Amino acid sequence: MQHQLKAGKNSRRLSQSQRIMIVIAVMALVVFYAVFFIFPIGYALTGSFFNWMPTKRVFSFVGLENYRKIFEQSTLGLAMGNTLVFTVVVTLGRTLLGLFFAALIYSMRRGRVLFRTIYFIPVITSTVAVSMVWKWMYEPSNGPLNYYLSLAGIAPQRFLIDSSQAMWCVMAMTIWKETGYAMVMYMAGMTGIPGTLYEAAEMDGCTHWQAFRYITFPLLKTTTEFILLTSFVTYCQTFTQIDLMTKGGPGKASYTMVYYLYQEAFGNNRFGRASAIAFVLFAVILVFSVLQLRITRTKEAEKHA
Amino acid sequence: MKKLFACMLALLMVMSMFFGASAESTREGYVNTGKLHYDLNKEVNNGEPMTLEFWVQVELEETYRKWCDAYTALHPNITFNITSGSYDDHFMKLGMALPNKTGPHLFHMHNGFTDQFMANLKPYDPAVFPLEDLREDYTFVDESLYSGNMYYQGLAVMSCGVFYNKKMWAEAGLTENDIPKTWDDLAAAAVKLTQYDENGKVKVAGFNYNEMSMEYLITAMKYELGSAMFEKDGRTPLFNDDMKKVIEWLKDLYVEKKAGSVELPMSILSFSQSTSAMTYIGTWFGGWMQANAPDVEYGFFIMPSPDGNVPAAYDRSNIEVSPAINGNVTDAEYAVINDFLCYLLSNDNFVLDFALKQYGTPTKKCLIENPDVQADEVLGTTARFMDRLIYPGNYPDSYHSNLKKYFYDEVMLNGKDIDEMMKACKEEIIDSMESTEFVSEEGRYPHADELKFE
Repeated sequence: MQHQLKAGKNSRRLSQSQRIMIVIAVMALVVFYAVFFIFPIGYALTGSFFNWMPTKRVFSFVGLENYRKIFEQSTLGLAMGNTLVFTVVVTLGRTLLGLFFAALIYSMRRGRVLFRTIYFIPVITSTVAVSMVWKWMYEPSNGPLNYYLSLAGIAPQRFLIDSSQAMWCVMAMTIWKETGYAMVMYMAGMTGIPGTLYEAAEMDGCTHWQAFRYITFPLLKTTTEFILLTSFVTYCQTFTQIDLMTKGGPGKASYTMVYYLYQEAFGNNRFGRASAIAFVLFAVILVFSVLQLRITRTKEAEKHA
Repeated sequence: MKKLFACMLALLMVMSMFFGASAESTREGYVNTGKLHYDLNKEVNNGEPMTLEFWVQVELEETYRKWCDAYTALHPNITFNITSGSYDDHFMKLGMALPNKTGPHLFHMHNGFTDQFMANLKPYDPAVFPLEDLREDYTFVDESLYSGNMYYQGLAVMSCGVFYNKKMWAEAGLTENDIPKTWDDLAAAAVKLTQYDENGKVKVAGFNYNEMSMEYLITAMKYELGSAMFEKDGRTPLFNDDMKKVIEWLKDLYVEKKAGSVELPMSILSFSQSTSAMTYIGTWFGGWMQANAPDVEYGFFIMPSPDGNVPAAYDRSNIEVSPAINGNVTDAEYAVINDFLCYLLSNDNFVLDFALKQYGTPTKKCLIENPDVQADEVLGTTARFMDRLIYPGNYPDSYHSNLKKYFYDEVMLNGKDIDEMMKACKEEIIDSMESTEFVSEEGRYPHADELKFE
């Protein structure tokens, strides 16, 4: 017995080389995060209080001037509004459609892999390529979308060159491209639900809808929360499709926060002002993420109580 | 012994023939008819090897590689490591690399980046490039100086004009005599060239200024009405009644005369796809058409004046410039780079190659009458109007991007009020100019006395 205890103690005690390895691994991670995350974020935060033009080697303290300027201009409100609409619509669209297609495909007896692959292809296709193809499809005079609308007797639309439609067109493309990701996540979640639950439900006379409503959906809660949170953070930072499809236009109709930030940094060479925009966006994402996590935890706590 | 001596002599003869021939071939292609002197026989870097990093825009890679190779053939101890990238990538990378001292020794420059890059550049050595010699050889010498220093030299002049589809022109019953001489002529020709579908929508535009033309057209037409781009202080954008008149004229062309439509693709694409019969764009478009739509036969004319008389200026001009030197190079590298740049700038054939590649009219005076330049419809026409093209200097990109945003997007697409947009656009340009030291060069224009600055 004594011998066993000793062996147990020895097994928990780490050798010198193991400890060195752990220190190296931890230090590598710390250095990695410090160099690629903490330092740039700290530098950008500092830069937001400076008149910062790196190409001109200008870095002079201006206090809150950059923040004052961006809050003074109407572009910030416009970009913030667009970003929130974009984020909410695309996040919900992607999540609901992903769940719908996952349930549909999961219920199929044959062809699951084929359909899962088909729906997942847009996710792994480059956003640049997809944006260019959709831009062509939205072309008012030669694009195929107006052609099909005309066959259905619907008046041709101006899509990307109409300020009331441009943002929705980009959102539609993004939902189409990103739904496959949510679908795959949901399908993975569904495989973890024990089949016995459905068998029991069937014996109790549950309809398909009731089984989905009372078994599938509640048990996919963690997956849903994950998709919602990651989507929210991702779409708050939308840039590529806006840059390629509308350049923030017509006018500033589809300006998002990151596009606005990019314009200030690389269009006007004002990295200080761009950093200020970045930190306003950072604050918004932080507030929403914390709120979302709080709500989730509160519900969890209520459930366990 | 005699045999050995004879053999050695024969070998020496063969070697001297070989090296003699090779020395000749390295000089091949180098022609200097100007005053700027370059000594082909001078050794550089004391014969010690040196490799220079040279970043270029991808379209110019072939041209630069050719002349770098020629220079290496002349000076085998100097080699070049050329890295190319698209326009956006090239200048974005430079913007990051130069301040961080990781940039190349020399790079293809665009004068639009002068203000941004100036702190990281080294001027050309005045001992190698005497200004009086350059002035004798080139135009645009003084326009390229900053505080008396030369950071590059303009090599090709670009401007804008109207490209028209020759086949459509003939099909509409128009001849060479119908080349517009006034704005009304232009509008009439555009109406004649426009084709509509069964619903009355524009199928083929007579004139297309969509997306990347209207902003430049506004500037040109405003010049033709006698108004400068900037006020007397050289920094405040001049937005006046002439500007409003131009925007109204352009709007009228689409909305009332229905000679164009915002629903057609952007100007250059539509023209290359033959869904627009005329478009207004930079002279570079001639090269673009040759590369992307060689089957479309086009003609070119300078934007006509409002009433057929010679205006204060027909249009704006800009220059494509020689490479710039990184401010962090060592003295030895600086000396070699200056020698290389002198080799390029004194060489008529390099300047001609560069100008033809960039599709601009060469600034080297001896090349303006060059048959290749004159034979080209775009370059030849631009050369004839050079005296009435105005160089405003390296104004920031945000000037025209804001004109596009407010007058094409907001007025033409969103139907907003012209006066309100003029006010908003001016404010935004003034705000974006805060981060630059730009001052307009319009005051140096030989006919500046014919321009209004307020």
